Amino acid sequence: MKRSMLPKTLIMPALLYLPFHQVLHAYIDPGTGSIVLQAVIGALVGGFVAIGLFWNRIKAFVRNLFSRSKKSEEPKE
Amino acid sequence: MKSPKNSGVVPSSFRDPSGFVFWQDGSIYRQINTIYKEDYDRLMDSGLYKALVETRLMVSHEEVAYQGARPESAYKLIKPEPVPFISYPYEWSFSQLKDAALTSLNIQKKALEFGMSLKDCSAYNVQFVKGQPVFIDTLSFEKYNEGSPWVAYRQFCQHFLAPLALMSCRDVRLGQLFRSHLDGIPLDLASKLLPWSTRFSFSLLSHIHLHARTQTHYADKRIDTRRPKLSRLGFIGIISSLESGVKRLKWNPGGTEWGDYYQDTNYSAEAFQHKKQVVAEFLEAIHASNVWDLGANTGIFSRIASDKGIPTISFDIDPAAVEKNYLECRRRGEMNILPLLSDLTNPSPGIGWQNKERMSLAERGPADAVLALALIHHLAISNNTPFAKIADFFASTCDSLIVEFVPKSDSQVQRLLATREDIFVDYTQQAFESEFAKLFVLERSQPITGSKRILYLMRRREST
Repeated sequence: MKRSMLPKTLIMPALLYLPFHQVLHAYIDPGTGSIVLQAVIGALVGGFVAIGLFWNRIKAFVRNLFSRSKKSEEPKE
Repeated sequence: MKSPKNSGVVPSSFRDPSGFVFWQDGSIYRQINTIYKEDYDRLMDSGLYKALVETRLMVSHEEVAYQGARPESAYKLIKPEPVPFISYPYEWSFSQLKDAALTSLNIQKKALEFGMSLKDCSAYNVQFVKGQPVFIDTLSFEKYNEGSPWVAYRQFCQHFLAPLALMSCRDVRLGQLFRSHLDGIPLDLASKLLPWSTRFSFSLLSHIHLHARTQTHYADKRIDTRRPKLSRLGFIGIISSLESGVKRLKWNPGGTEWGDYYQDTNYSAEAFQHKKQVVAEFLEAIHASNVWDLGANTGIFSRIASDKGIPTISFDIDPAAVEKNYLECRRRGEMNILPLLSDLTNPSPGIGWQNKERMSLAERGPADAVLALALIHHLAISNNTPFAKIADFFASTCDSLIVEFVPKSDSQVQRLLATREDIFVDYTQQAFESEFAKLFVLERSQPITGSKRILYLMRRREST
């Protein structure tokens, strides 16, 4: 069916050119396709995790800045 | 519940070279092989074991002096906290499988914090203990190497995400595919069976549909399978994506086969109350150490036993009833009741290697006591089972039996007979009593006020 063509044409070439380095040791077969897919999905969702971390740091920084300036505004006894 | 054996290696414990489980003198032990020494020590010394046990994510164990098994390969011997009843994913309701999935992911996240990772993620490694899903395989952890992919990723998708997605998005009965597929539901099959609209969910698109495609694509390709780079953030991202995908899957147990059963019977409130009271009295007389409630519906009568502190398994054929029962357990924080899905006319068989890897229901019995309330007419009339065979089944399943006889004049039996010819000339109270009396001593009987039904308390005869 035609609907199935688009993801395959876009994703499969990308999957084929991934770098590989190290032998896996596991008593269950992780499956080559599963390993390759993880590299692709991981790159994508890892980006989101990084952005999430980044935003948390920004928020913490702003909050920190805000509380510091608030503190400095408080009259000293 | 008794173990089918009290000595010898557990038949499901042969794949993992890290160790194995065996029975000795009625207790269960796990041998840790020398090959797993480094990872076991890391699990114990890193603080991961302590963190998992304290949060009730994993069973505890104690190291014991070596007692036997296979000393040539042994590093240590541990005695894990006992699991009273082993149940399997094809016997769980939707939310039980979902909670088991989330427990597995929580463990994986916790393991990463301590520099370890799950090397297998089988649904069979999770068991329900005191009402909660708990991980039982102490040897499933390995050192996490930055850059490595998750070796158990495919297994998690096959054991958890695929069945949950099928149950949620297509039909809850598809969870039964677990019975025919020992290592979880193949992703190409799940991808074919799932509605096309599931491709709009990122987690289902990536972890099931694309996963199935890449598996097929690489199935016959020889590539350098030294690992692709998967950063720690990518690893965490995949776990989070799986977690949010699982959390988003829902199933509403409305429209059950038996959902409105109690509203729909000819029981008056008075009769229902009386039945509860008689069941409670009979249970008091038995002093049962455990109870199986067969045909439990949502577990109203199971709770008479479990509320007395008796470990109770609450079986029903209807996935919606089991789901409601489990949600009620979770809501009440109950520790003594385990709802499970079971069709008594076709109970769980022994499956896997030599039909021994996963035990049949019969192997996991017998129970001390069985409740069989409003069940006999379904077995005798819907399933055409003669009283002699029903009595024989109960005699192999329990020592004490609380059973309700529902006569032909009862509206529920009339309903069963409405669409079939009444060929059940032997379906009489007299025939019921005489067949059961061959295998059981009929100790007490009590007609239920305001109904035509009778409750019996029976004890299995010594010679059977």
